[in-house]
Amino acid sequence: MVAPVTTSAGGGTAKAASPGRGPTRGNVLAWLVVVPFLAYVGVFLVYPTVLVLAGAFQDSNGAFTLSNLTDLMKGVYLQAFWRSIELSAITALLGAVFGALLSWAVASGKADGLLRRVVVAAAGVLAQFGGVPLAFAFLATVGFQGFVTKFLQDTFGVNLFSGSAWIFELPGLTLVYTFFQIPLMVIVFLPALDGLRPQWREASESLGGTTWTYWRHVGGPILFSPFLGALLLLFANAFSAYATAAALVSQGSPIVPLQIRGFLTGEVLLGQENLGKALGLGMVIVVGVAMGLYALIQRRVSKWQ
Amino acid sequence: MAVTAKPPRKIAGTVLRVVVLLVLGFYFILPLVAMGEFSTRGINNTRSLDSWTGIFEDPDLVDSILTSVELAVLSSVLMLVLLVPTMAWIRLRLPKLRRVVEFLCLLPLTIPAIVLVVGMAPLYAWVNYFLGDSPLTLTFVYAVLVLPFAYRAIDAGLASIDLKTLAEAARSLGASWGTVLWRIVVPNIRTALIGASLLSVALVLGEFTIASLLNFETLQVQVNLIGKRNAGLSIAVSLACLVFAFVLLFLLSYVGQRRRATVVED
Amino acid sequence: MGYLELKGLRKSFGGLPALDGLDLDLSEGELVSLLGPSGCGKTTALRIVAGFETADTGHVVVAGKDITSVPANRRDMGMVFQAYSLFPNMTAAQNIEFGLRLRKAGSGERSKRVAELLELVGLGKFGGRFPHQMSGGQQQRVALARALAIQPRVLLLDEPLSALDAKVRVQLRDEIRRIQTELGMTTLFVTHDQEEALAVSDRVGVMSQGRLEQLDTPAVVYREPASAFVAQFVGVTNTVLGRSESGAVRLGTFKLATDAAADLSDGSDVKVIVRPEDIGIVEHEGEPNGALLGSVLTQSFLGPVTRLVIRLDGDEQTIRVDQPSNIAAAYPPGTAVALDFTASRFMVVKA
Repeated sequence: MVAPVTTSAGGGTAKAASPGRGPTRGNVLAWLVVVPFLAYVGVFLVYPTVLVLAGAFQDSNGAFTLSNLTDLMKGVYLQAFWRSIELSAITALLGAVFGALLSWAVASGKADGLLRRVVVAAAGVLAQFGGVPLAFAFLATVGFQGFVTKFLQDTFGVNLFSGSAWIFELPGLTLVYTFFQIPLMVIVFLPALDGLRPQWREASESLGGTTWTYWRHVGGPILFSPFLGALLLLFANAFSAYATAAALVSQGSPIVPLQIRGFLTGEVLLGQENLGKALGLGMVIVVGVAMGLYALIQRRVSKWQ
Repeated sequence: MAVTAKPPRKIAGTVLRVVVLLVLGFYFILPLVAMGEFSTRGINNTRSLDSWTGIFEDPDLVDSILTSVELAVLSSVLMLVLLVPTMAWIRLRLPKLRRVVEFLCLLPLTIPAIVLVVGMAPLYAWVNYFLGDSPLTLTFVYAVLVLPFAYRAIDAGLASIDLKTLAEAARSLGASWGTVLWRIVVPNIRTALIGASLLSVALVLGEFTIASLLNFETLQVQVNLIGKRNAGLSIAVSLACLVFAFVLLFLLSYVGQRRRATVVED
Repeated sequence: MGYLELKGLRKSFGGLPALDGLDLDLSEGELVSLLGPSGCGKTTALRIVAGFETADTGHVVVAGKDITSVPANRRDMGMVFQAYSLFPNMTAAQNIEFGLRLRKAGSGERSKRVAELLELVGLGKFGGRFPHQMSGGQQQRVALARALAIQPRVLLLDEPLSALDAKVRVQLRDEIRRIQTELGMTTLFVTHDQEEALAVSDRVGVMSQGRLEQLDTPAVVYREPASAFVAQFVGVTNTVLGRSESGAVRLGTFKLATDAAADLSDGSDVKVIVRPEDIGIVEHEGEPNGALLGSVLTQSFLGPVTRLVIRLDGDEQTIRVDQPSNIAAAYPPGTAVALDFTASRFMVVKA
């Protein structure tokens, strides 16, 4: 006997699809439409991802092992992870603070104004596909022959590189990362600022509040969650970033993405082929945690708006 | 009617706003100016446009530009073909699948490109075995890479129309599902589709990670390569890329607006 | 001299005048509505009183004190906005408490006031709810309580009902009126809904293009509109096109004798404005007799009255006539009728 619930549900859908056809057939046909998409994503997204995640637990013969992961917990790899986390955290914080300020400066102008359009478009460019051009912009500015480097040298006799070749190390990466972190913050945070209704400010004012009371009791608390969410997103973004660092740093691998590059371009020791996949797994976990928290916060935020 | 004029005592806010804009504006414009300056350097402190004219004289660079443009178009088309029917269908008939599809589409945000490419390398051994090693095969990864952005744009488009009612109206007038998709869904979310496509184009033109590690010579890979021997040329191309992407996104902001304007008139 | 006085307020936005010399006096405890279509300046006037906008010229005076240059947060005005003005991060009780907290009221006094106010607006048990957990009507009640909490000198209502469902709207407007009367609160109420304005106000000010067209009690505004604009904006009206002819107005074969036509030159186009309930109707068969003739097109039953739509003979104009439902039953669609509004109220203006 068929469960009545199943029958009626199946029949209902089928009737909507194609009158006169059997319930099962209609349902199957409905599912067929999404098969190409699922198959494609299965092959080109899920399969490679699984390959990496599973590979992290395999030795070079394909047997199960945890040695890749234990290797990850020590030496250069662990250092790279800490450096990556440090770089991402610092640039996320810088990006969030300055990006929030810039969003605020833009949001209080006209919604369709030229300033806002220009800032949003420029932020989009830098945040989402700066990549290699950003590295070259950085070199043109503060590289050995850069505009600012030369200007400081010629005008004030200051040598930017008296200490070290810092621009190719963590301080340089931190600086260049702010060029896509601040813009990303603008993109993520502007909608939250737009969500602040002018009525709230006016209500606060008519009840006797000052600008400070408004931000302290209303605007601030409302923006806290979106700000925290944006911070996490920025962290994940910096942690996953590769292109800018790769174009800038050709020697050595201070951060995890560059370590993975090493494995892909053949600097692999025998028996460590799958260590690169373990690094990948590590990255997915860190980014996954950040994005998961971000999604949680987003859900909370959407309730208010 | 509720136009707001600022009372005079908000001057402090305005001053702070201007300061923020000036300081950060300077911070972001300085590198652009530096690029302009660097790319127009000649010998012995003269100015020259050699780096810029050099863009068209470097056959590898021109090839890679063409490759990237083709990739951008192909990826956008593949993305649209994959997403539009699926997403429309799911809203109409399979709402249960919505979470799954959303999860899959947003998954690339959690899998960094550098990790994805680790898993892609073996897969591409097969792709290149069957389809040859044309850089255009990158289309397959790129269609995946643009999924999150395209999904959001199209989802917003679909959410802004009452798809179910429109489809029911069309069906009751005798339209097939194909007609519904092509004559009802697509025209009504046109703006979202343009937005999704432009985002994809820009994203593909800027992609470096996957192309470089799968050893395909796209624009960004070539720019990076040239940078090792001719910094001026690389910087010129980089500046051109940024400006081009900016113009693309700037125009995009007007595409969205035109739509809003028509809504108001109605 | 009124308790709240608006004197010669002028304001323009980017060259477009929003207020063109507005004068308005409210006596203490009075509820005055500003009624008009969107863009007529009513909201601008309210926002100038609240201190959110600055008038280009003119003064706002409360209890004899000029407050034109007092900032909004020191005016002690309670304001209720159109919608979504509750702080979303605070509960209903915290919203109401906000103004008291800023006034440094003690916590015992605060919670007592909040409980009273929640009771006053009929939300005794909702103090712990967040705005997103309440209906639109409940939110507006809380907003009202919040505005009243600071014991404002004037209550300002900016279309507080416009975002609500019809049923809630009627309920809440009566409640606002009850509370306002109970507290004797001087209130300025802005709305574009004439029914709302007529129902709750002591006086109604009808505005158009930044000016006050008429300011009077609801009954007078309705029965004796000061201008064609007021007549057409307030209540339902018919506008019939005609032509002036030697001291009368000709509508088809009908000649409407009226003093108003005396000033109009012969042959000029005029509009006759008349309310549906001010038109008499009799059945008519046979030859034209000099009355305004037509035939019933449709009937709509509105409860106590039935509205007949009559097509006038000789042209395509239609006219709405309200009759008690039992009488209207005698005029089914198709009935030839003669209309009579010679004895009743109407208005003649140049077309």
